[in-house]
Amino acid sequence: MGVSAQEDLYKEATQTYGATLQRLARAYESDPDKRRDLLQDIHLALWLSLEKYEARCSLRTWVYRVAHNTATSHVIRQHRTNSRELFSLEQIEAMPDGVNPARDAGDRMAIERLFELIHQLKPLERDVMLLYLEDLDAATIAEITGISAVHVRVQIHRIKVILTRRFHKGGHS
Amino acid sequence: MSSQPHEPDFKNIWQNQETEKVIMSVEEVRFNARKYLRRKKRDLIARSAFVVLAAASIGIFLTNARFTSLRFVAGMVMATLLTSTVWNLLRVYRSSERPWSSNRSAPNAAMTSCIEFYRSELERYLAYAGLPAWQLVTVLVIIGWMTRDALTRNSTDPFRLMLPYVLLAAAGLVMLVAVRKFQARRIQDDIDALEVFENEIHAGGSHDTAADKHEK
Repeated sequence: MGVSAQEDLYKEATQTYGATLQRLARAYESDPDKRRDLLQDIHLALWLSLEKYEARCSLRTWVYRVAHNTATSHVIRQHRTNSRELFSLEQIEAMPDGVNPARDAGDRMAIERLFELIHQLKPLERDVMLLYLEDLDAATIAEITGISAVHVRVQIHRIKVILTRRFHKGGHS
Repeated sequence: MSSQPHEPDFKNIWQNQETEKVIMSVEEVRFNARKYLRRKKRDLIARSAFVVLAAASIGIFLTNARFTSLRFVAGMVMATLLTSTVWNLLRVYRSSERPWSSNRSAPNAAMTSCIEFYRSELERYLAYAGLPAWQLVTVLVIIGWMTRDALTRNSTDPFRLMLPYVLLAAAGLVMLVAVRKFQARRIQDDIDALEVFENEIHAGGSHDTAADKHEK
């Protein structure tokens, strides 16, 4: 692929998905400095990847995969050294009310509570949740993540239950 | 959903959150890409230079030195380190078709689904965390043997001056092995959890669950 075509694709990708990438970086890294580095890494990976872009999948799927996979690498790197435990949706759903830190933050903004929940999740479940919040359908989420559409729907159902329960009891209206 | 309480519009909340207006320009990304590739190239050159220097040092050391058992052990330690470095270098070359040009992992990230990528990354980190363990243990055993030899004899071998540094290095290696082991265990736990998750997918993929029917 020529450099100008790569540039055009990159511009198109950042114009269309720039805000999504920022939200994703925020969902994967709470520290502002590290988040900036992560966002740079995502843009760099996207730029390098577009050199080999083939129209076998849509630009959207391509961008989401690069972004989510780069962010996953970041999480694994961080998780190797820090002691913070990550949970699956099933584990979060089963957590008793008393040990749920998000529940106690009743007066905080809804978005902050959403981030608190997202930062607790394991990478794959985090991917599904973010893609759901970006309003992608189950089939597209399945294509990006490699998880079957049936299982994606199961995950989305869990996500909805968890969100509804937490937001309702957390005082959001 | 009728049985559930009032549900906020999570998607709307999520998508309308304030984001910083930081859009990277093409020039900026291109500059970063060049910097990244230059760093990769420098790393490869540094590794290669280290191997050449180590090989030259061992050659000079073994040909000029008086042949004592202590020096023999020192030579073995150096040879082990050299072998492991060459081995690592070969792995870098083998894992990269075009090490000078572009990052292979970026297109891989685009062409691989999240679940495959997650697994491959975990396995890569596990291999990385496990790799130095046996090499370092080998070096430690040799250093232990060398230290015992130096402490029990009263020779005037100048190599003895290096002993405190060797012991310090040995202590550092023990720490490093311990950290690597800890990291490897954490990654292995993540791989085990992923396998459970995959089994759950396969089990759930063959039939529609209650939640799935509900979603439909």
